[in-house]
Amino acid sequence: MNLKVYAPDDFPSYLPKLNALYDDLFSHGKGFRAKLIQKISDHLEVSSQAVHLMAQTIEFIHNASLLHDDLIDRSPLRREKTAAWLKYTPEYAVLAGDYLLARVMVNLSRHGNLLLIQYTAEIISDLLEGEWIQDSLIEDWDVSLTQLDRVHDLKTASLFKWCIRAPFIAANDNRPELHRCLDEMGSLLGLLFQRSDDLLDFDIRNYEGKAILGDLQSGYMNSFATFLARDMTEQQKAKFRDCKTKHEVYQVFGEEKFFAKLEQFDEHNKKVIHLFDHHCDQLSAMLKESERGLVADLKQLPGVLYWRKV
Amino acid sequence: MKFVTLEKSDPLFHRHLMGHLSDGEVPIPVESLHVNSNDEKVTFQILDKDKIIRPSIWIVILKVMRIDLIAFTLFPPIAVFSVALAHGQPTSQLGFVLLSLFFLHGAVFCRNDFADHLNGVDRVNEKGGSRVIQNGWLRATSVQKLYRVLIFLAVFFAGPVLMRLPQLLWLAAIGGGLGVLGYTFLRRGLGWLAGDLSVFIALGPLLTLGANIVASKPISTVTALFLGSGFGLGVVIYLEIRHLISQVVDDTAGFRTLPVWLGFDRAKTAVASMFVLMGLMLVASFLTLSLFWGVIAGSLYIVLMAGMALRTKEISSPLSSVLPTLLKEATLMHIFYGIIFMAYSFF
Repeated sequence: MNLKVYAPDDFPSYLPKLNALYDDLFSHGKGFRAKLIQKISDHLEVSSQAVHLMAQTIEFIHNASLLHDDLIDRSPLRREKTAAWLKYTPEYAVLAGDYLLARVMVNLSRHGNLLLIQYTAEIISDLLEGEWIQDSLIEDWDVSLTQLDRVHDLKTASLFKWCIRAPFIAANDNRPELHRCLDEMGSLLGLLFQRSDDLLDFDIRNYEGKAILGDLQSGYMNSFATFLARDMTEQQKAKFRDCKTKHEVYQVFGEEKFFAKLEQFDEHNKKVIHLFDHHCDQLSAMLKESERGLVADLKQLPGVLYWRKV
Repeated sequence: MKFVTLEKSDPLFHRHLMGHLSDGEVPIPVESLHVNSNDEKVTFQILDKDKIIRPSIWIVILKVMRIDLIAFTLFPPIAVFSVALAHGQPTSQLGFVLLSLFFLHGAVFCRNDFADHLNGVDRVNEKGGSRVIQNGWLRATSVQKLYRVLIFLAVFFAGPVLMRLPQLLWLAAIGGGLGVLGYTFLRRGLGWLAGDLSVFIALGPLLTLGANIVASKPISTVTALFLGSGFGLGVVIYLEIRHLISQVVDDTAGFRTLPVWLGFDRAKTAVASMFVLMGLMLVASFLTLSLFWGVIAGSLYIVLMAGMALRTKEISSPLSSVLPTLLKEATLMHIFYGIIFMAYSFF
């Protein structure tokens, strides 16, 4: 099935600026979350209409969060293009994000699965709570990894949880123990994705050549920065905050030590991957014979999300 | 890496939680769901005992006894005893009291760590308790045994004092009861308020009044009450800052605390007010002693506490890194409060 989560006629023709904004926004996205929905749904008894609805839902929520995020962070670029708030004004960016979330609710309520509507509203709420708390951590240079994990569980992991739980809800499989397991798995995937994304900011496994040190320069200590800062002296921390290039980062406490810390960080996250594998085995025992192929697909995800294997 | 997920109904669940798997393996809880309910489900990582990096056993024991917080228990009696020593009053049994309180402090925290491990509070809140059980440094059963040893030592050293002053048994019983209730059983529903209040009374006025009786009343009961209330407030401030730090976890897990009840901003105001009130208690203690220089010192202390209150008000979220720093400073302020009062004994 070819997933085209966004079509121009999804939105009213009498709002040309809104359509132009969405054309820009959706044109360069990878649609990873939509693909994940499709991959999971392939193993379950879910109609193609429902798969499309879920894929669209997650992409709309994700893109709404990007519109709002970019404005909050004052990021000038999104997917290597001028961010919507700069190109179309902050007011339009806010309205466009709000409109996407409203569309999500309209589309889901038309579909009529109440549990799915309720769960979607919950994750949108989590997402916003995470965004709100994250904003309070700007310029907080001594934030701990545990504190950041809490934010990421709300902000990043909520979407991953939705991706792996929603297809089961659409398939009317609402066993509590199954959803507890899926929820934990989503949480771990979100954590791995976020930590890998934070590594990109230090040019680690940055195969797409994304801009680096953006978090640090906006006054935000991401998970790897926090991990690096654990053993730093106050003097090193002060230098670290002012780094503009990765070579300046290496100079703070030596290139060798930087990569030793990276190795430790990877080891730390391997434990998360092992835990995810353990939950995959647990999930396998809860699935029907015809659904078990899903586990093999899920086991590949940490490789894609953390190690960035294509 | 080996993981096991067990439900509460599983016969192996309790054994894993108690850390009793085999001599060579230690189960460590890494994920807990639906804690303290019949649906509870815990994932344990099974670690080789030899591979756990653990500090020396003495450091671990001091950690689980929460030696970093010993001032909360020992400073109220030390403040009163120092006045008694300065006045040349009989002091033969003061050492026993301090030793007994030292072991009682350790016992209460061991009991607290053990109970919070079992009921899931410290498994959900990654910053709760001493983390000795959750790090695999001591099995839950060992902490339970240590609690029994410490409570025995506390009673043993309290013996000579209680024989001389049996009326202290009432205070000890009230204090012990309040401590256990406050720390262990009153976390849910509206009980958190009673829990906080019992901590305030037990480690504040009750402890100071008891010490005053043992030391043959070197200060008046009114002075002891004001002084003790300040000490009690110091402990409650510490407790509430900890609750501010864990507010996200507590709220999500359904634990009731002052910040969850009041909301972050109003809880900050409450803590800020308590800082100032603690300073006022010191001034009130000196006023009852008609000590002019004491009132001046107490007023300077209020200025210091007002600074702490302002810093508290400026904190932006429960995840702010300022909160752990404030927590340490609150402990120091409690000690400082005692030291200023003790200076009285030199005049």
